[in-house]
This record gives sequence, C-alpha cells and structure tokens, in this order.
Amino acid sequence: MNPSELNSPSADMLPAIAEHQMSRRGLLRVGGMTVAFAALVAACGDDLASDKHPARIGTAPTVPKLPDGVVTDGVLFRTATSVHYSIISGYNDISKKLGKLTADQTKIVDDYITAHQAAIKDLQAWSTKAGSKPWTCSNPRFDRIYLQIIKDRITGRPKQGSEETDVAPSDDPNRDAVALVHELEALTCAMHQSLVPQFSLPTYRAAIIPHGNTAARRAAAIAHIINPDNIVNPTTLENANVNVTTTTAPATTTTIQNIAQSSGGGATTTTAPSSGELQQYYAIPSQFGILSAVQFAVGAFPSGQQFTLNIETPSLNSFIYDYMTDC
Amino acid sequence: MDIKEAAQIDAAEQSDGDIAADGSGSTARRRVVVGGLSAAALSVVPFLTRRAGASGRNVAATSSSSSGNTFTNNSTDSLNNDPTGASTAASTSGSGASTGSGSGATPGSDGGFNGTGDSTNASSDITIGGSAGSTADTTGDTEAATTTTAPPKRPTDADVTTLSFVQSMELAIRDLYDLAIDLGTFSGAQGETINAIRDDHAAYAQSISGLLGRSAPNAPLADLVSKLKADFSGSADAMLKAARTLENDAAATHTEVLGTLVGVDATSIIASILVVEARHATVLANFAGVADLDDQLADDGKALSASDYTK
Repeated sequence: MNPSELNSPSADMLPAIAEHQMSRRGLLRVGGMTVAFAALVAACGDDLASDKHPARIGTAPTVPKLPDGVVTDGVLFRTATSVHYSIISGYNDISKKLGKLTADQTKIVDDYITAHQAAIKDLQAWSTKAGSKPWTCSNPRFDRIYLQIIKDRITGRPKQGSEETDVAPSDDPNRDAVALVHELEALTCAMHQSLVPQFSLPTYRAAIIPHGNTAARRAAAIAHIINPDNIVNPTTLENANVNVTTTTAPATTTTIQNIAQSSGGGATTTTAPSSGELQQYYAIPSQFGILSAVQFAVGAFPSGQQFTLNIETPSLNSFIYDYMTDC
Repeated sequence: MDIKEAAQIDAAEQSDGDIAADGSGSTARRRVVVGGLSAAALSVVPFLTRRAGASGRNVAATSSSSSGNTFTNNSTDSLNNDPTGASTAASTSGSGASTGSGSGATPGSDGGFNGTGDSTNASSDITIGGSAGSTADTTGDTEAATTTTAPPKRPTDADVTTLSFVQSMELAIRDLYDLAIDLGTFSGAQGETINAIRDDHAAYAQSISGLLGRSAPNAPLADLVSKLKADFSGSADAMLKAARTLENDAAATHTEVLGTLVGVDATSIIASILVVEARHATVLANFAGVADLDDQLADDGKALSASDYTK
C-alpha cells in the first residue's frame, strides 16, 4: 500500500460518504427553509426598538419636564384679569405718577381705574366658574415688555446694552400719559374682542365681551378729548366714500428707484415726517374692531420721530396658565 | 479507485436515479421554488399592512375606543355639528359601532375568515381581541389625554336664524341714518361722522350676509324703521338722542346674540361689530351734548328681540 492509498478512502467507505454528503437538492431545501423562517420571524417582530433614547456616556441630570400649558376657559379669564391689573398699574405708576395730570384728567383716570377694578371682580368670579383659580396680580410679561419700556421713555435713562445713546426724557409727559390711557383702553377692548372666539362656550363669550364694550366707550371718550376735531379715522372715511375734510396731514414718504440706471444703482429719496408730528387718536378708528397691535408713539423726538411700541393682545406666551400660582 | 473515481461513480448513480425517478425530482424542485415564493410573500405581508395603515397596533387602539371603525366621516360631522360643544364620546362610539357592523369590516360572529387574504384576517383577529382587552394595553403606556372638542366654525341652523335677525336690524339702522342724511340736518364734522356711521352699519349687514350666504334675508326690519322714523326725521337733537339709544340697543343685542351663537366665525364678526357700535354710542352722546363722562360711557341699551319685530 502506497501513501496515496492510505490517504484515500477505501472503496468500502464510498457509499457511506455518498449518503451523508450535501447534495444540491438538500442545499436548496435547507436554504429555502432558512429564508422562510427568517421572513416569518421578521414579520412577527416588533417594529419599534424598546429603548427610544440615544446612547449616552456618563451620568447626567434628568432633563426637567416643563409643565403643559393648556389653554382652558379659566386660563383666558385669568389672563384677562391679569391685564386689567397691569393696566391699573400703568395708570397708577405711569400716568398719575409721571404724567403731571390736571385735576380733570386725574378724575378721568380714577374713573377708569374703578371700571377696571369692577372688571377684575367680575372676571375673577368667572375664572372660578370656569374651574380655575382667580388671578390676583398683574401680568408679568406685559409689565416687563411694555410698561417698563413706556416708563423709561417718559423718564429717560442711560443707554443699556447695545444702545448707542441714552434714552431722552419725554418732552411732554402729560401728553404721553393721556395718550397711554387711550392706548391701554384700546388694548383692553381688542383683548376682550380677541378672547371671544377662543372660549368654548357661548356663556363665556357673552360674559367677556361687556368689558370690551365698556373699554371701547372709554377709548372713544378719551380719544375725543385728545383729538376733538377728528372723530373718524380719515382712512375709514375714504373707504366709506365720504368727502373727507381733515386737519391731519398724512405723513409724506416718497421713494424713487431707477433700477435701470447704469451707474451707482438706484437713487432713493425718502422724505421723513416733519419733526414733532404727533400720533393721532380717533374715537372711531375703523369700521370693525381691530385686532392688530396697538401702536403707541411715546417719548421725545430725538431724530424727528417718537419711539413707537407695538402693544399686542395676550397670546400663548403671556397667558396666565393654571400651573402659574405665584404672583 | 481514488476519490475522483468514487465521485464520478456517485454522480453517475445520482444521475441515473434522477432519470429513473424523474417525477420525484421535479417535485422536489417545485417544493423548493414554492417554499422560496412563500417566504417572499410572508416577508411582504408586514410591509403591505403598514402601507394600508392597518397594522395590528393601530387596529387595537381603534377598537379600544369604540369597538369598531370609529373615525369615519359620519362621526366627524357629528362632532362638528354638536350644538353643545361638549365631548361626545358616547355618540362617537355609537356611530362607530353602527358603521363597523354595517360595513362588514370585522369578521362574523362565527369567527370565520372572510377569505380576503392573510393580511385582512390578521387585522381582524386583532380587532376581535382588542374589543375586550386592548383598553388596558393602550391606556397603560400613555398619559391620560385631555379630551376637547372645538366648536364649529360655520353657523348652525339656529345661528342662521339669529344672524338673519341681526342682519335685518343692521339694515334697518342704515335706513334710519339715510333718513337723517337725506334731510341734510348735519354738516361738517358731525355730517362726516353720521355718514361714516351709516356706512359702518351697511358694512356690518354685508359682512353678516357674507356669513349667511343665500340664507341672508337682505331686508331691513320694517317695524323698527317705522318705530324710529319720526325721531330720525326730526330735529338734530332728537335724532342724535334716538341714534345713541339705538346704538346702545344694537350693542346690547350683539352681546345677547354672542351668548347664543355656536359657530365661531360668527362670534368673531359680531364681537368686532359690537365694540365699534359702542364707540358710535359714545360719540353720539357727545354730539347730543352729554357732558358728564359717566353718562357718556353709560351702557344702558336693551337688546332687541326677534319676536318683537317682523321683516
């Protein structure tokens, strides 16, 4: 027997090897079974991974969960209450304290404060009926982004942050103080109007709008005192095709552009309003109640125009949610 | 004989066997092919069910809420038309159940399959099981959701009746102002203002007409016009006092209407009208010589009632 014969299987062993070797048919059978089983497992498996969080190395504090700000009927009543409180603060801390009001003007402001206090009492009762706790102080965001800025524009202050110059004190605090009364009443009116469609029940809508009704009357009365000659906004008169005779000169802004000019691009000429041009207030400013921002021009005329503040009605970022408990 | 020869012998035997039993060989081949196709079909099933939006998990969640196909157009409409604006879980459940039984989407009571394929049977199976026990499964993993139902935007049938009266009232007020304007009683700033107020009321009637569409009456309240005709055709003082009272009454009417309207679109319009009519009243009080501020601001209007006036 040579070595090659030792390594090769004997003729007796060949049938046994043939019986156990993997045939092509067997390979296909096993392969098909494997694929079918794998497909079945994949189809029955869960689509979602159990751990939805990304991998993290080390320990870190748990991220705090912010409370859910759910806008309910009670939240709307609480928010309206807070704005009435803020308006009273504006009258006391700005108009009466800084405005050098006359006796007649002081009486008007005091009457308006009394009206807002009555509104607060009513709105707090409705807050309770709507299932929320009555709010008992001013709106913190409103105070911060509106009242403080208005106060600064009347008293003046040194420049802050990126401001280039100091804020000059108002040239006529009385004018600004009385104008503030009009703007805050107009805002009250707009706020109550804007809240009407947000309530879920007709009862609440009928409860909120009377305060908008009375605020509109107060705004009209003070506008008539400030601006007795122009009762209706000239724009409204033009829309209504009425022959307009008004003493108010509209601001002139002319922009000329010639983009076809070859050298130096377009020439732009803008005529700024004359220095000291005052904002006009109208007893009937529009045909329908407006919900756009109340524009309040206040303070001195450092560059020919007053600083203009857009006062918005409350929205999601200034609502008094139920989770807010501290005044 | 070496291993190569043995392999050749084996291959030859195998070939002979295949030839001898050609029928069984092709059958095995067919089995392999069928097995592969079955595997491919099974792997496509989850993809198809996901595409159809009827995965087992979704069906279970649906069945937990209403034991049937809940989210149909019918149930949505019933929510929108709900005059109370309250959450209507019960009615939703009811409509869902009726839809489910009517459409035959779930298997019959015998539990037999409907023969539409494996995917349908799979989802149906989960629906049956979900009716009984899937509520605990779905609520256990999630926080309790706040159930809110938004009020409808469009006016309801009752709203249309109310708004029709309001539109007729506004048209009557416009006609009354026309009487005063035609007489030329007012001039200057007062004339401008009276003209503007007249046009405001015309605009209010138009806006309500836009809300009502073909249902709008577009006719003034004749009784209201005849009742106040003398005042508006008389002296300037009488007209101003009557107009002020009428503006206050209109504002009071709108306030009362807001307490009944369900459609949100109409509430927005009525609120925007009301606040300007309040301003009208204050201005007219000033024109009428009311000096006292409290009197100028007085809101003593009486709401007009539809039952008191006919078109």
